[in-house]
Amino acid sequence: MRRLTRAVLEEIAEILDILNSENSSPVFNPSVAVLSALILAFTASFSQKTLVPLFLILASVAMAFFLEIDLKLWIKPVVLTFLATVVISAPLILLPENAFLFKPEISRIEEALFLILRATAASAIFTILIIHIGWTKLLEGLRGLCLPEEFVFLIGFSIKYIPVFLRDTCKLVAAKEARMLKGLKYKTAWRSMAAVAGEILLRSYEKSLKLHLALNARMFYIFPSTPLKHSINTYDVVLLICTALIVAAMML
Amino acid sequence: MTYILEVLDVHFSYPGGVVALRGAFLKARKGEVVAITGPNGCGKTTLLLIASGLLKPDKGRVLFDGTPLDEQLPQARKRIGLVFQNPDDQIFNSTVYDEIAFALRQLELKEEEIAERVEEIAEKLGIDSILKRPPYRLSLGEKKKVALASILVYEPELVLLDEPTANLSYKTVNEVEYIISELQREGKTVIVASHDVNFIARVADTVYVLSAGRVVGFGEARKILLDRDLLSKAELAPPLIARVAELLFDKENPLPLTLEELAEKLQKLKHK
Repeated sequence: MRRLTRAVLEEIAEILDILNSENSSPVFNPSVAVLSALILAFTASFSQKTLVPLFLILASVAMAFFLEIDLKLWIKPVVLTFLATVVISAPLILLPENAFLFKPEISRIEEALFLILRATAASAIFTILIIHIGWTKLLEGLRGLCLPEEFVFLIGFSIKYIPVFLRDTCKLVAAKEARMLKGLKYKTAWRSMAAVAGEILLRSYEKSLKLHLALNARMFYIFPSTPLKHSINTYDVVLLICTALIVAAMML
Repeated sequence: MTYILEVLDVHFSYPGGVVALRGAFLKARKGEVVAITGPNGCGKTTLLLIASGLLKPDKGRVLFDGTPLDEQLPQARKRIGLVFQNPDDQIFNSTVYDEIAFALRQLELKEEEIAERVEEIAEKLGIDSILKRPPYRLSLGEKKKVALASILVYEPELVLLDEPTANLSYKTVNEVEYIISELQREGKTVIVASHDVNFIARVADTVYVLSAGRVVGFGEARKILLDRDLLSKAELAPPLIARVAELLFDKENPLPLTLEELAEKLQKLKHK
């Protein structure tokens, strides 16, 4: 179980590392890509029709081929979202209206499957566009959309910080495990885990301060006083038109 | 005299009231290797963080090339490189390549040029075979080299190294020394914070001794590193070679600081 905890933490760190990639010459304008990613993810999440999320998943795969993105990279965050939604939607399937009767109902299963589909589609389309533009351009895109500087920094910092923090947590869990004796009682084990959680909170603060300094030390233009200008090309226009058509399809 | 960096009478306290610096100062000329030494917790790292503009002093001034550093930020960061003591605090990218290319990507260079420069520095530091690997799976020595490469790749004029030899093998320490001498040959200024006096004796021109946030002595490396009284104030002792030579030779003689100097002195004695 403890090994599973570490494996899950490492997997999540690796998934965030995927978003932590770079692309110095993306096909799309960063602001257009971020805006489309947000609109399409929103559309997938709130769609009432099955076709829209299904189409978005297919569009993501097509985009992966067009943008020459390694499918293995893209699939990881999508599968994680899928699994997380399966867990979240499990009560819908297992606990029908009358919670005492463990008898699945077809309508509930359909609802759960639709929820899983929408969440997976939202993650698929959002991830493909973000992987394509990369970390630096994501920040430039967010700035281009005139979002508050603090918000842009928080997003950028989180993508860098969460994998570092999760790996630190893994080390701490491993260090605790190394000193755990066989036949540990549950009560003692819980106390130990609580101590790890407290230590993690304190360390995370220290680590975030250090990472902030490390980021600042090599930041020359990431947060300039005026947003960087990126021209809008044909691909951007096509992406915007497709986004508008998908939103319209959802509304119809 | 042209100083690239002047840290003048700086005071700094961390939140919670821990006083790290009490009127510390430091000056570095272009092309000079300056060492800051002192016991653990004396304020060496804080002084480097202030010198790089990452921390703002509570009192005092930092001049970079004759102009206040805070007025030149963030652009001046292109000219200053800081290598942290613990590489895990500095490395935050998913691959070694991305880590080294991080600063170059902000300079809006073409990907081909970035690749060329990354490969060049990686080859120079002997880490070209690990460019695709995730940094968290590397050894400490490799991580230190990656951290160093990520700074040297954008060719800063002022390089600040915090405990560059801590926990490193003999071979890697030699490589770090070679890199420092190369940087000096290229006319760059290097400031090293270290409590390894043997290492300082081999690389530094000028030494500042820090104790409890104050500079208790500074001057030419030979003079400072042979001043037993001054060093003892900072819980340090002269380099091992100097202590061995002290036992072998008359104290009046200029004592050797490095192995090469000791060998030379012994050769002369042999010929006599």
